Amino acid sequence: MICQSKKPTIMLEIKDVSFSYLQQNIPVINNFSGDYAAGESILVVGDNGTGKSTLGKIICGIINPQKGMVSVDNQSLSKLAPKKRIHIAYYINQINQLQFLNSSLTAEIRSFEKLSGRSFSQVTYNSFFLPPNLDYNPFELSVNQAWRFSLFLSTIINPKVLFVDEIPSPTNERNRSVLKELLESRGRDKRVTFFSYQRKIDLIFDKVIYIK
Amino acid sequence: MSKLYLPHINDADWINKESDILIQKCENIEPLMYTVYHSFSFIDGTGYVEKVLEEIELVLQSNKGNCYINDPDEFIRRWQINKYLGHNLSQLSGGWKKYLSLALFTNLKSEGKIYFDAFRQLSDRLIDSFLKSVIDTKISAAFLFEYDVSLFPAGCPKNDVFLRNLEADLTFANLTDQKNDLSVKETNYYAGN
Repeated sequence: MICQSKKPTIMLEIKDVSFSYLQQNIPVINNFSGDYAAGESILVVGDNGTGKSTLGKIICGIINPQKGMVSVDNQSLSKLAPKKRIHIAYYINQINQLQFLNSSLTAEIRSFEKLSGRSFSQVTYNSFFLPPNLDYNPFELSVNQAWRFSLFLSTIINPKVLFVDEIPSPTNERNRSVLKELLESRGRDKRVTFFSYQRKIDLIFDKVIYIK
Repeated sequence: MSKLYLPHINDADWINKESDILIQKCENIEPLMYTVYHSFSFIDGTGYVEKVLEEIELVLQSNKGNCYINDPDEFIRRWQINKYLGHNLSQLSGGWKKYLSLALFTNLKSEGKIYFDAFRQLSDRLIDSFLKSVIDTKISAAFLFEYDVSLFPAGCPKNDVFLRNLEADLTFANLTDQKNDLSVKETNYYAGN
């Protein structure tokens, strides 16, 4: 009897992608390709300036590559309006406070609920070690709290692809706990999850991409 | 010769929330005039120029007499920024933007410097380069409050500068009770230790 393992279905396809910023001759991303199945977790490791954030923005359709293509479930993100696009691929900026647009945690959560049509889960919120008082201004959150809050907001949208640009402090116990939870839930949520960092992290990822 | 302090704080969130008290604690340990670096959330640069080189020239020229290094070429050499001089500031990566802001801040003269959240977003190479440059300046003392102190390079500094690694148990009680000074354990730290 021949046992054949089931080949995972590719959700995110990146094909020969290249990108250069204006007035720069050398591409930041040069012929990058990769296929990723639902539920996979990927750590993107690279020195400062190697293109981790650029890759994240390309994957999430924020910037379009000059060459190559990115598709999620065979759909190109390049022509989608941002409000539609973020349901498919969501990018958490390394300066994630830039993405807070309201003056309270409640208002921020409500705007994500409105965008996604889904209600937030108090249980999930609690597991992200966030302030119990939702009247708190998101700009008063500490760096670690702000990062965990951004991750929490992404769970409301529940995108197919999530790119978390920069982990503020992987040795922080609470950050680590949230990271582990996200990594463990990857199969259940059927999401392709990218994290970027300047160095390797002692947690298990399905793939590690080294950018030089 | 710089004294470099890397205080351990039990709750890293105090870097955001209790920075005024932490500054006061630094002043108690080393009574100096300090300038304070906070990691910026929104800043790309001055906004007056386009390229990295122009930004460096502008800041050095504007602060003439108040800089440790006034010559752009020497500044670029010391901080190893030559690779990105022709880049638009807006196209610089997050880590390099931060490194540039740290470089320009450190180059401004002051008796002491306090850095909040300098290491985050920087690679080991840039952290190493930043620390060496801090030590090479004539700052009397620099305090580094970091989210992840484990990022402090094991072999830094590589010269004969004496580095004191101050382990201060800044419990909440210590922070709020101004009468109690820090519980301080000092260890001498040399290259390779």
